[in-house]
Parts: sequence; C-alpha cells; structure tokens
Amino acid sequence: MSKILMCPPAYYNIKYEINPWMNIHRSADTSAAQRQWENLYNILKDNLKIDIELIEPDPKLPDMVFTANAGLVKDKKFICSNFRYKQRQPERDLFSEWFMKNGYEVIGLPKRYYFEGEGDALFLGDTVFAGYRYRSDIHTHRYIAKIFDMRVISVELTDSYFYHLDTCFCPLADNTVFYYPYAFDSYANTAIKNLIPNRIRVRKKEAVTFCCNAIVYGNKIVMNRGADILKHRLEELGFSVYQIELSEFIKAGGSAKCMIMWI
Amino acid sequence: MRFSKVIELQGHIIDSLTLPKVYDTILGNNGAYLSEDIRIGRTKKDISYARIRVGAEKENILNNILEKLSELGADVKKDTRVKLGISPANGTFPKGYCPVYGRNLRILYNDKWIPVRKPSMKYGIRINEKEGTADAVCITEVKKGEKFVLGRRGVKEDKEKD
Repeated sequence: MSKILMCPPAYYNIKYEINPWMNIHRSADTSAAQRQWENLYNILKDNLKIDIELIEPDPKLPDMVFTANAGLVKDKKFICSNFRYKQRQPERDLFSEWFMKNGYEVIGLPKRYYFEGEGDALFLGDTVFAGYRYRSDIHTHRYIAKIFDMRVISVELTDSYFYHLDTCFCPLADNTVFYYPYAFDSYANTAIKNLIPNRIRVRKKEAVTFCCNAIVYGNKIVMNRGADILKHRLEELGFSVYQIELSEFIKAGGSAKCMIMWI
Repeated sequence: MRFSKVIELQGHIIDSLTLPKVYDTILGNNGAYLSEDIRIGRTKKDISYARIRVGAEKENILNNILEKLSELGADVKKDTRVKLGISPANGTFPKGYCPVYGRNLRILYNDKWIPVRKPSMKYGIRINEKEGTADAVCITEVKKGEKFVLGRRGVKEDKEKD
C-alpha cells in the first residue's frame, strides 16, 4: 500500500481523558499542532512520496486526526472500528461513509466487541499482529483472520501508557520489528520471538517518546523526536530516519503513525 | 469437579500461545480442564479451534476463571435446558428419549442442575415436576402422560461423584 488517509487537526485538542497521556488541564497549542501536522504531511508527501487522501474533520470529534484508529484496510476492504470510548464512537459513521464513497467494501465487526483499527493491528508480511486488552478485544482477531484470510497473532498489552499496539511495536520488513518488550505480557513476547527473527528492543526512555509510533515506507521512517539510540541503530541498518516535532499530539497519546491509516 | 462449563476458543491460538495461556489461567486459578476437542489449522492461515470443559470445586472460583478466559477470547457456551417429551402409553418412552449413559448425570431443569437419581444404564429420565426431581426409570415403570428427557441437550455427566 502506498496511499494513506489523514485528517487535518482543525478541531484537535484535549477535550477529554481516555488514556493516561491525556490531561484536560494540559491543552494543546492548536497553532503548534497545525504546524506539526503540516510538517508531517509535507514530509510524507514530498520526501517519502506517499499519496495522501484527506477526510474532512468534524468539530465535535477532536481525535479524528488520529485516523489509524478508524479501521483496517486490505485489498479495498475496510474493517471499521468499534471504538471503546463513547467520545470517539461517532467517528465510525464518518469514516465508513468516506470509505464507501471511495469504493471500498465496508465491513463491520460484531458490536459487542471493541476494535480500534490500525492502532491495534499491524501487518508484517503475511501476518497481522494484533494487540488487545486496553482498546481492542481479542475476540475480533478471528474475524479479521477470516475477512483478510491471514494469520492473526494476538498479543496482550500490559502497560496502559502503551494502550495501542502501534505505540510499542513497529514492523519494518517481513522479518524485522522494533518494539518495547515491557509493553507486552510474557506469552506475547514469546510469540514475537518465535515468529520474528530480527527484533530491535527499544529502551523505556526512548519508548516513551513514542518512537515506535513510526511511519515506515521503504527504507524511510518518520517518528517523533527523542529516540537517538534507535535512530542510530536504524541508520546502521540502512534506513533514513526523519525525526520531527510532534509534541502537541503526544499530549493526546498519539504520534506520527496514529495520524495515518494505510489504505 | 463439582461445577463445570464448556468454553470455545477460535483463532490463531497456537502461534499466539493463547491456548497454553488459557490452560495456565485455569490451573493458576484452582481450576481444572478437559480438552474435549482440538482442531489445529493445517496451514498458516487456517484458524484453530478448541472446546474445553473448565471445572472448579466452587461456583465462584469457576466464575472467576471464566471471566478471565473471556478476556482471552473464550466464548462460554450457554447451558441449554433439557427438552421434555410425554410418554404416549404405559411401558413406552417418548420418541427420542435420552437413555441414561452415565452414573453421575445432571440435567438443567428450572435453571438448576439437578442429579438424576437411581441411575441405571439405558433407563429413561423421568421428571417429577411437583418435586423438581429427576429419576431414572425402567421401561416397565413408564406410565402414559409422564414427562421424560429427550436427547442430550441440557444433560451432562459429572466425572466425580459429589
């Protein structure tokens, strides 16, 4: 996939608290957020040469900027999310409508199970790694396996600061990943070791900069600033790493990867 | 085990290590299990399936285990009440009656698991609605109009006697 969906942060701010990073008394600097988002957009478009589609933001939905959480796409099939928190649930209809209008097959999961899209489901070769506990239910994984006809590896998250899989796990190529192991339980760590031969372990002081919430395209990676050890390691492996300022979005518990969905 | 329920697991439960995690969760919380059916996918894409009977000595322990297993993707199979049929004549079981197949049978009747008294193989299971009891009876004892359990729905066998 070489196309992504983004949503301008016109109405982004910290209006509620649904993860440990959010604090309604620590609001975002909306002008700075706009600049940071535009910088990300420009790098993805101009440096990484990724095609970008945009969805119209909604004034009542400040977290729409985090498009990754809206669903999961493969082969023109869009599995739409069942957001855990009521504050984000109205996003479902807006994203479903967008995908329908753009020719995708929109597929819903049983409403009794939560699922937060690419936030908790990441492709690695012929496998989907899928996180559960905080935002998504493991029950959804068998539906994803059937819809996409792919293996889905369920991994349990154990640290509420890394509440989505894409905050602590970043696939690079078919058999390589960088991740923060302490965000997973022991079974998940063993499964990751069993199935992914090349693993780069990220230290806590770098993991909290949201460095795992990175956008990877070919040999280029975009992430928030602050993870110099990881940057160096990735450069040794031949990647070009763009570290950019995304501090206003960290306030909401999101970073680069959260702001795109591969479509 | 005095109390038990059946759970089902589906998905890539082998590669994800969900199945051993479920077993560890049961044993680590003073439960026991019996794997009734396990079907492992033949290719990487195929999902696997497991049906497991989970047991515990106390109902609250069982419920606690089931809650944890639910968070690991297990579906708890709902108990199904027994189906009853009426004897059409003296000395005749209703069609499709459930012959006694074990010594420690229980049936789900009026939302309670009650024991089948005086079990003897191949006898029918007669319901006494007034008393809310179930007895195994020989065909020669059957009277027209009595109610009997049909099929195995809502019938289970305890592996150990109370």
